[in-house]
Amino acid sequence: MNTHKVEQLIIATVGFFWCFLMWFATAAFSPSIADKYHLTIAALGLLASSALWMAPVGRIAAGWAADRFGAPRTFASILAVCGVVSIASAFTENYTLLFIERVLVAIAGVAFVVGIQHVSQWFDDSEIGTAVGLYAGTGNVGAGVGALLLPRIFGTDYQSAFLWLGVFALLLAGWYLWRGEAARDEHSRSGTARRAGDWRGTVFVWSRYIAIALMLAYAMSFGLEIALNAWLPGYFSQGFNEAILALGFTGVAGVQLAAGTFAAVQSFTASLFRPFAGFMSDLFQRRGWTPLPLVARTLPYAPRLHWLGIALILITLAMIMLTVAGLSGSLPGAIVALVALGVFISFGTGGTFALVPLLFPERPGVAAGFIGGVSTAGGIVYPLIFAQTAGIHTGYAYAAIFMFVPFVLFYFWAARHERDPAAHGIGYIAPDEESGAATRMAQTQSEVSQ
Amino acid sequence: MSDDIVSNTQSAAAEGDYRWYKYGVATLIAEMVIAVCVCGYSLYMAFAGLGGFPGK
Repeated sequence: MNTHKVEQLIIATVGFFWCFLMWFATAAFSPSIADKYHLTIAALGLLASSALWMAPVGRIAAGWAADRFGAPRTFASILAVCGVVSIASAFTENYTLLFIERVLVAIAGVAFVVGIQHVSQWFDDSEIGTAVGLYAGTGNVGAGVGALLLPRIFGTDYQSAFLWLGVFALLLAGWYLWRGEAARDEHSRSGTARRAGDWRGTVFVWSRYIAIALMLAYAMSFGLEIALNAWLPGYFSQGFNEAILALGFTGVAGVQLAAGTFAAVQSFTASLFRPFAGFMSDLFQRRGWTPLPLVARTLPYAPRLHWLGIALILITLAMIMLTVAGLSGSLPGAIVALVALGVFISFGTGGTFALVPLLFPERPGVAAGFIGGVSTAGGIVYPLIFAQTAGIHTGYAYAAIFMFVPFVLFYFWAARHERDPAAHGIGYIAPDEESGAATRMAQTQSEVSQ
Repeated sequence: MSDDIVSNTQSAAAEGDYRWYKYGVATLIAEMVIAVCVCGYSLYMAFAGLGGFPGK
């Protein structure tokens, strides 16, 4: 089939955008659902959190399936299953069944790693940051667009929304199958599929220090992003209630409107700056910038490691800044800190997935599944920490000091190797990886000597 | 930054089939502009409430 890598990027991006739209469609209509079924606050919270339940395990399985069966078939299957269940949920009148169906529709969120695998099979090393950034950043906006547009288009008629979302998902599944190509050549495609059948490769990826470091880096960035999506509206409405009332917003609806608008700052910056973060990773790579101490300087992709290291330090500092702004009682100060945090989070998400396909070129899906899957647990953990600390403003500094600082130190430690960091880990190296590592090591030494 | 983008695109174009790159960069700049507008709106609201904005 005659195709181009840009067409593959567009297919993956549109598919992921729609998956994100379906993923968070339940949240967009939660007031309508709560009103129809007379849900308590606890039940509403359960419905909101259920969107994340399938992500950690589902993304791991999806990454493996993308390597094994190819991204088009895997992505189309996800779109088709979620589409059918979404259509079914449009006709459901029983809340328990609706809840189960919406949990199943939330499987759409696992599509991220499939698209990452797809894009990484088509783009060169020097452009991968921008390509993956455009895919992920544009796709992530689906959550914000859904929250903004779905209630305005469909009002309280969530059933029509679920129906049309499902119908378009089926159409997109057909498009993905028709025009999608798993890789730019059959050789790399068959090699990826063959290696995916070997479980030792999965153990290999999971046990590499650099994979664990990238997983923690993604938990610091994307895990934090989705945690803040859920946490921030409540934070602003409680932590800055007086300031919001002083601005002239009245009643529950007014405070919610203001809090939601302030919270949207993080969501939009973290999503829409992500392609720029990938571009910056490419720029670091082309210019050969390696400013950080300890982190490797001679690896072929060393500048990208440095860019991600800078992003992780900035995220940690911005979290502390958010606490300081909150404790000072300055609402504009908190929003400025939140803008900075959102931008730095995008640096972390874009920087991480500019590296994943390069560090594990033999198993991009398995690696993306591990790093993009386990890290989403952060979305569940951080709000618990924010809610459990003494004051509503101190949780950010607490998480930064007691979680992020150790994560950053571990990253620096894992990224210090000047010879193939993927060769270092817990336990054994799978035989084919060992030879792959040796080959890459020889290439690196050759490049250094040149 | 604009110099970086131009030279980045040019050096990329010299390496192979990178013609798409300038359009990719244009897209990411457009997305950043949208994000900056949302931030600007939120910050204005933090200072002035809904005063003057549509939807008041």
